[in-house]
Amino acid sequence: MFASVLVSGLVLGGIYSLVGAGLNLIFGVIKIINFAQGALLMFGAYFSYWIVTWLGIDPYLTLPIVVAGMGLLGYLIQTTLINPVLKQERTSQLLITFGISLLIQNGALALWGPDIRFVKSFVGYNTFEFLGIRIGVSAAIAILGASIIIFLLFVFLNKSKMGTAIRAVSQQSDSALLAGIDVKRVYAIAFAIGSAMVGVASVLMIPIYDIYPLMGEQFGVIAFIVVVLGGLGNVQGAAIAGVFLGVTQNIFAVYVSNQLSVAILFLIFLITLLFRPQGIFIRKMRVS
Amino acid sequence: MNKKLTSGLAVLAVFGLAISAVPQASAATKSIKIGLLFPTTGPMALLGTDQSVGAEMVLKWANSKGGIKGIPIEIFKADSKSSPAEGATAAQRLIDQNGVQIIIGSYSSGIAAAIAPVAQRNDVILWEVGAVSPTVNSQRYSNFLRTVGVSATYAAADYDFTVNFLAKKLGKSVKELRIAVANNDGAFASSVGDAVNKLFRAKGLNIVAKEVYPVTSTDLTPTILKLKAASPDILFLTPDAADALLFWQTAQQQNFNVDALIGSSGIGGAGFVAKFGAAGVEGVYDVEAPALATMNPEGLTPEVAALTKEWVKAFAAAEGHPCAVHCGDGIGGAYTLVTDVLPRALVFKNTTLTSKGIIASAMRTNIKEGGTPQGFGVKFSNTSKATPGENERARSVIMQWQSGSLKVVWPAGLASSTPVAPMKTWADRK
Repeated sequence: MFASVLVSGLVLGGIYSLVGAGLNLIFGVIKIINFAQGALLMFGAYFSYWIVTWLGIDPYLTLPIVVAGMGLLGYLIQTTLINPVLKQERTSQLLITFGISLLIQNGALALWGPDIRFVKSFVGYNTFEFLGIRIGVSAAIAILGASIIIFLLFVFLNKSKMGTAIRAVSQQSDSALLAGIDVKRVYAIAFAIGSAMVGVASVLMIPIYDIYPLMGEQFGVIAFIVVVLGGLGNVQGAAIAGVFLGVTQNIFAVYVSNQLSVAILFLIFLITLLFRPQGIFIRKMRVS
Repeated sequence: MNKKLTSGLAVLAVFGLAISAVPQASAATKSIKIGLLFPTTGPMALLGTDQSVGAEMVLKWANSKGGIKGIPIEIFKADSKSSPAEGATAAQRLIDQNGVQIIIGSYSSGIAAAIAPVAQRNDVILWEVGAVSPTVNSQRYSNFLRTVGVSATYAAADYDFTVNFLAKKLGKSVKELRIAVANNDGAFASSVGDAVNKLFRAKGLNIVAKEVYPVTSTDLTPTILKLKAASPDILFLTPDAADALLFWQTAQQQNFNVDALIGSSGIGGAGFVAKFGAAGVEGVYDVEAPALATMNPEGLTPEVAALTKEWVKAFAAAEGHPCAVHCGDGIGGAYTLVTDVLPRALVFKNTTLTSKGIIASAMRTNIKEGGTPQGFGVKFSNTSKATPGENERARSVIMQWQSGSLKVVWPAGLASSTPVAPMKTWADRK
C-alpha cells in the first residue's frame, strides 16, 4: 500500500505545486498577499465549464481561451484595483484582494447558484495501473501539465528580457524603477501571468474536481503554504514544496491520522513561519 | 357600605375577573410570524435551499387555506450562509427586526446548535426540520422541537436492513459480515458515523474499519486505500454533497468494491446520479428520511397522500429537480406545524400565540404512522426524557439507486421497489 500512498501523494503534490505557482509569482514580484487566488481558481473552472457547455468541446481544449481570458482578467485586476492601493498602507492592499475574492465568490453564487457542476473529459475517470499502483489518467495529465508549465515559467523568468525585468522588480523594485523599468507595468504583467497560470490549473483540475463557488477556498489556502514553504518567488522551491506537502498529507493520513491530515499542513505552515520564514529551499530572501 | 353597593361591586369584580381571564382578546394574534432560516448560500446551499423551499410551500399552502384558524402566516426568509455564526446573527435579526415567533430551520446540526440558544433566550420556538445530530439540544432547551429523526434513526435503519436483509442476501451470518464505517469530520457526518459505529459494536458486529476524513480534504485516495485494505462487505458512508462525489470517483479509480454501500447526504443527491450516470450509481443505498418523489404513497392517509403529490409536483416544476430527502424534511416538518401544532395552540381565533402555548400543543401531538408526508408519525418527547422536543416516531428509511432513480426499498410499508444486493463491481458497471 505504501507505494500507492506515495504515488497518490506525488499526484496531489503536483496539483498543489500547480496552484501555488501562480500565487508564487504574484506574491514574489508584487509582494501582495493575493487572497483572491482560490476565487480566481474557481472562476477559471467556471470559465472552462461554460465554454465546454456552450461549444461542446473537451475541457482540455478550453485551455488557450481560459489562459488568455484569465491573463487579461489578472492584468485588469492589477491595473485597475491593485496598482492604485500599492502606495497605501498594508491593510488596504490586504483588503483589496480579500474584497476581490468575495466579489468573485458571491458573483459566482448569484450568477450560477450553489449547484455542484462537473465536466467529463475524453479520458473520463479512467485509470492506468503500474505495478499495482492505480493513477487516474486526468491526474497524470495534471501532473504532466504542472511540470511543463512550471518549467516554462522558470525558463521565462531566467531567459527572457521580461523575465529579467520581473526578477529585478521582485528583488529591488526601487532600483528597478531607477534603472528605467516600468514597475507598474511589470506588476500588471506578473499578475497577468500568475492569473493565466491559475487558468491552467483550473482547466487541468476540472476533470478531477467538481465545480462550485467555494471549490477554490481550500486550494487557495494551501497555495499560501506552498509559497511560504518553498520561498517567496522561488519557482523550483515552491514546486518541491507542493510535492512535499502532498506526500506528507497522504502518508500522514494513512499511517498517522486521516482526520488530522489537513491540519498537519497548517502545522508545517506555522513551524515554517516561526523558524524559517524565508522558506526552506533558499538561504536568504529579502522580504519587503 | 350598603348591600346594594357591595353586591354591585362584587358583580363588577366578577366581571372584571372574567375579562382578565381572557386577556388574550386584547392582544389577539393578528398574524403568525414565522422565519425560515436555512443555508441558501455557501457550501450547504444546494440541499439547504431544498429544505427551505419545501417548508415555504407548506406555509403558503396554509395561507391559501385561510391561515391558521383564520390568522395569516407572515413568512420571513433568512440565510445562515452555511455558517453557525451567521445563523445565530440571522436568527437574532429575525427576532428583533421581524418579530418572528417561530424559526423553522436549520439543515445543519452545527447551525442548529448555534441558533437554539438564541431562540431560547428570546423565547422563540426553533422548529427544527433538518439537523440530525443528537447533541444539538444537549442543553435541553424547552423551545426546541425537532420533527426529523436524529442520527440514531439512521443507525437503527442501517442495522435493521443489515440484519434482516443484507446478511441473508449476501449469504453470511450477521457476525461474519465485515463492516466499515467512513464519514467526514463535520457535525452531521460525525454524528451519523458515530451512531452507526456505536450501535453495530454494541450489537457485536464486526467493524473492520472506522475512517474519519477531513471535510476539507482535497484527496480521498488515502481513505479509499485504507478501506480497501480492510476488505469490508458493507460500507456505511456519511459524506456531505461535494465529498460524496469525490469519494465515489476515487473509489472507481482505485477499483474499490463492496457488496453494499449505504451512504447518506450527497449520496442521495441529484448531483450523484448526474455525475456518474444511472449505471455508475446503480445499487448504491442511501439512508435518510424518505425521498418524497419516489416514496410509495400508499402508506400515507389519503389526504396527506394527495397533498404530498401536489407539493412534489410543484417543487419539481419550481426547482427543476425532484423533491427528494431534504425537500421532504421541509415539507414534513412544516406540515406538522401548520396542521397540528399551531391550530391547537390557537384554540380560538382571538387567542394570543405564545411559545408556551406552542410547546404545550406540541406535547399533545400524536400523529400516527402515515399521517405526515414523510410517512412517519409525530410524538414529541417531554421534559422527562433525556432529550426533550424530539420526534420519537421519526425514522429513516433505506433507499437505493435503481435505473437512475432513488427508490425507497426498506421498510416494506413505504417501499416503492425491492432492494437488490450485492452491488455490481466497477468492472461489471462498464
